Amino acid sequence: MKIIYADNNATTKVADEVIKQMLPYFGEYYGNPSSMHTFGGNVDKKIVQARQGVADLINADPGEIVFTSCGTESDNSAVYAALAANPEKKHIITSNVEHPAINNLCKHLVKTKGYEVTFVPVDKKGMLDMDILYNAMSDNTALITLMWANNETGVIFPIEEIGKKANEKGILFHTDAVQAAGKVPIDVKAAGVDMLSMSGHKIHAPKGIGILYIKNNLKFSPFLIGGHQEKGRRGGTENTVSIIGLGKACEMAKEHLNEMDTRVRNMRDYLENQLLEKIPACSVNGDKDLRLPNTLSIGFDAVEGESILLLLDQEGICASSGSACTSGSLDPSHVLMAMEVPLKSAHGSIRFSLSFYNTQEEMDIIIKTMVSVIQRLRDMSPFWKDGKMV
Amino acid sequence: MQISSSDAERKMLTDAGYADPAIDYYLEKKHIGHISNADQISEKVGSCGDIMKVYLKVENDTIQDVKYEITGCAGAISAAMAAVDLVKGKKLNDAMNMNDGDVFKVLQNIPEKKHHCIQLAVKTLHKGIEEYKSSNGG
Repeated sequence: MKIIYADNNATTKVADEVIKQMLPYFGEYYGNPSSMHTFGGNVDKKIVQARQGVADLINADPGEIVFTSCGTESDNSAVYAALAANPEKKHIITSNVEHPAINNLCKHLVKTKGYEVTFVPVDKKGMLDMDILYNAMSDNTALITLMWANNETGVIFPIEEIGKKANEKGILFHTDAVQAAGKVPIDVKAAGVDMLSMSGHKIHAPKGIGILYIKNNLKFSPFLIGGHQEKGRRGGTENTVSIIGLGKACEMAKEHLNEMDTRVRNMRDYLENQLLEKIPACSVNGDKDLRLPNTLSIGFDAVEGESILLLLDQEGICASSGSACTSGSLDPSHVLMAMEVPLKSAHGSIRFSLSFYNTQEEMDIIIKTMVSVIQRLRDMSPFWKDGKMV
Repeated sequence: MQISSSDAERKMLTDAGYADPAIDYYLEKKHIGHISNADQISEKVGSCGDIMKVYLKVENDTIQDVKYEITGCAGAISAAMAAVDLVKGKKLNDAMNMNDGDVFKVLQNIPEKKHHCIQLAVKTLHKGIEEYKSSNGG
């Protein structure tokens, strides 16, 4: 069965070009980039090239890029470094729709270290309450950490505007750009961010590689203390193969940015409009304008998300759901709950997230399948009678 | 387009931790629907947000027929279907004695994170019986 992969905010296919770049460094070129000899030094040259590729994607200097193991490590490193740089400050500002790598870390800091955290709420469209955000900034604030774009809804926060305000107030500003990278242009200088997290496997590089951008001259305490690697900002022998892959993936991401904004956006809009037109009682979660071009979170009344996914899976269609049944807990997505999406809609919410590998033909198959799947589930729902909600 | 039950769906549920009887109940859905002349209709929302509506047909304190409408996952559907088989033809009081363990035994296994679905199926049915009894002088 042909797979239609529409779950690219979860992870992405490793690009063939990326694999091709990586393969020789699994076997033949196994040298340690820190070694004095030419054999190791040749690997180091590839890492220099990869660092440049990453830096170019986000308009950073190569020296500002630190390779990590994943987005979560980057997020944790950034938060702990900011707190270490400002030991007298005990306040953090974040939002209530962050990825668990930030959300759970902040809760942990409250519980175990006595930090005060402001979780800035979002409105029904998933947009930050800017008044609460700005009013929360104080002399006691050590860090503002906000995601560039939301993984579930694709809603984009006004990072540049917030960065300006944070810089004026002299508060460190970190952004988790794991979902935004490769989908919308990122310019760390224009955005005024001090630190930025990215993850390789969201942009067609392998899993197990991430980066933390650390602005030049920023006081930084390493999260992993060890050798001199990454200029002492992250100990541990470099994951050379994955770094090389990430460098290539970033080059490709930059080349595909325009396509994301045009062809991929058009496919997403087509999928969205067709589902809204052909299936009654469904609605889009999140702001439709300030949104990643590849993401569609859509809630279907009177059905449950996991059941939708099971039936889609039968047809080889991969997506994800915000329902409690798929979360492994008894609670639906914290993002949809924070947006006050009604439970009946959150329970039947599905996220389609596209990449430049998707095709228009695939969108037509998804649409046709969804019409059938939703009808089948509504036929056994207590809330659906004679073609409408009861 | 008609989507039918398939080996792929069965395999996926097996991999997720559902035993064969539970999968059969989910795929067959033999007690899904409504009873047009039901003596009692009751509804309950589960802790995860799944919703069940139970229809009861009762004669001489005996459950003649039961059907569920469900907005829920495979765990919820299989649990409700198994619960029906356990109480159909039983006296109301006997049906009230059916518990989560009885349903689990019939299903043989469902994933641990779905055990609350069994509770919802049983609680919905018990709620229906209690409401029937209270509105019929019981």
